[in-house]
Amino acid sequence: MNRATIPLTLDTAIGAAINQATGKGLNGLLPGPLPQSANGLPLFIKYTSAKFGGTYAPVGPNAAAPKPGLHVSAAEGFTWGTACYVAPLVFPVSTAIYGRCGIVAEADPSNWRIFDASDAYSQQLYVNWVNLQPYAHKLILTTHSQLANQFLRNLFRTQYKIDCVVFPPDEDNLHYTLPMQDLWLAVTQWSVNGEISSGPSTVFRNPRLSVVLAEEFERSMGHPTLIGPTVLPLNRTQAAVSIVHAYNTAQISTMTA
Amino acid sequence: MNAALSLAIDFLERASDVSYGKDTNEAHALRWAILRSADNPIRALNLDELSPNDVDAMPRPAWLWLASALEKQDAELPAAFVDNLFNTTKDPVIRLLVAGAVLRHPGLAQRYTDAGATFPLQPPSWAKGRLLALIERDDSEGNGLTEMVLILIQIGNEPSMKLLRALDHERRDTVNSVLGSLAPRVGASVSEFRQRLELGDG
Repeated sequence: MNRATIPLTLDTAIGAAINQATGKGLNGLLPGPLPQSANGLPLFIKYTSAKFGGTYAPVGPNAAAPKPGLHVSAAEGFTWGTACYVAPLVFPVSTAIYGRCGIVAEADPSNWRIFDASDAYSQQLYVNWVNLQPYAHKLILTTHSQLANQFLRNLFRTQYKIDCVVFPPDEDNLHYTLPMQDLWLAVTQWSVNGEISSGPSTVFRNPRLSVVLAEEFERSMGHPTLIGPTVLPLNRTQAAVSIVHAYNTAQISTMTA
Repeated sequence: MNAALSLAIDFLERASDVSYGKDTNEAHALRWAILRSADNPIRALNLDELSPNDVDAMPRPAWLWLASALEKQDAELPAAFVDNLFNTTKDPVIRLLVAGAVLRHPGLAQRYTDAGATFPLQPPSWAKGRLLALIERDDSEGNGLTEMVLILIQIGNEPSMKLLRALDHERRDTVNSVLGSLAPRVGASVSEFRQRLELGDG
């Protein structure tokens, strides 16, 4: 993948920022250790609607059914382009606004190339990179801004072979998401020729429905809750412990609002 | 259009069109993952039979979504169909996205792995056909070729760069003209820029 459209100094700076984040590793970028599966692998969570969450149930009528990989979000409008969006389980309810079924899966992030988009310097490097693209003005000024954004984010991740973008939440609920503390992940699914792919993610293994949340959110800015929470603040540490236990014992935990 | 693709249109629109909402897009992405895990849903669509007139069967974002979802084992979109998808809009961003989706097909990358540096040594593709047609048309103002040079540099993957090198062999002046407009932004001379693009001396 040719990166000749930007000055060598910027190319080098981006590479150095990625190397620095990669050197820290996911554990080094997060506030606490990643909860682990019985296999010793870090756990991640993706919330989805009840309509499809049952597909991943480890017990009940769907238990024996094959579980698809976590899905890659390929529509326009996703912050870092086409990727499998998850949260580390250390933030167990941060993404609950996206559905009441929490699907937990394990992955080995030890070899991921990471771009830390929560870091102001790295953010600026990306903005500089965008501004120097041959199509920059057209892509920045078009009415098709979400398609343009998807194109640029995908291209950036492809050029620098980024396996995972770490970024702060840009949608939230006042109680469930902590934008100043939480970090979300956009994890790349690569095709055989090093391009970004969609479909099921093969990065995350053994996905299971591990938590069902008794909460509903409005589909509007701020995602206000419709039921709870009834107890504040939410005990996220305990929630993570319960979800890890449910995952490792092939059960489904429930969280009341 | 074949019946399977007609049935799939509803699905593809809901997977790709943001006006349906993120929940609907995501639900269909998950269903797509389920379908992909179990079988190859693309095969039944007979994409290689698409005709230019099929372009209007779906909105462009749906075609872009589908084109971007294609894997190595999936058929590439026929060149005549892509030509129509590309030519029926003047919007430069949509044209870039169409070209990008087509140039990134893993099957195309595989076919271009051992491609040579000139057009006769490269396999057929939509982009190659378009470049040759523009050259043959003696695109005297060079607008079509200029746009294609910019697109190939912007996409920047292996097939794009091989096509750019082949075009450089045929129309060096056009390529150098575009490079001349981009080089100052990179802080390089045209000659240095050519080297970074592995275009050789020019």
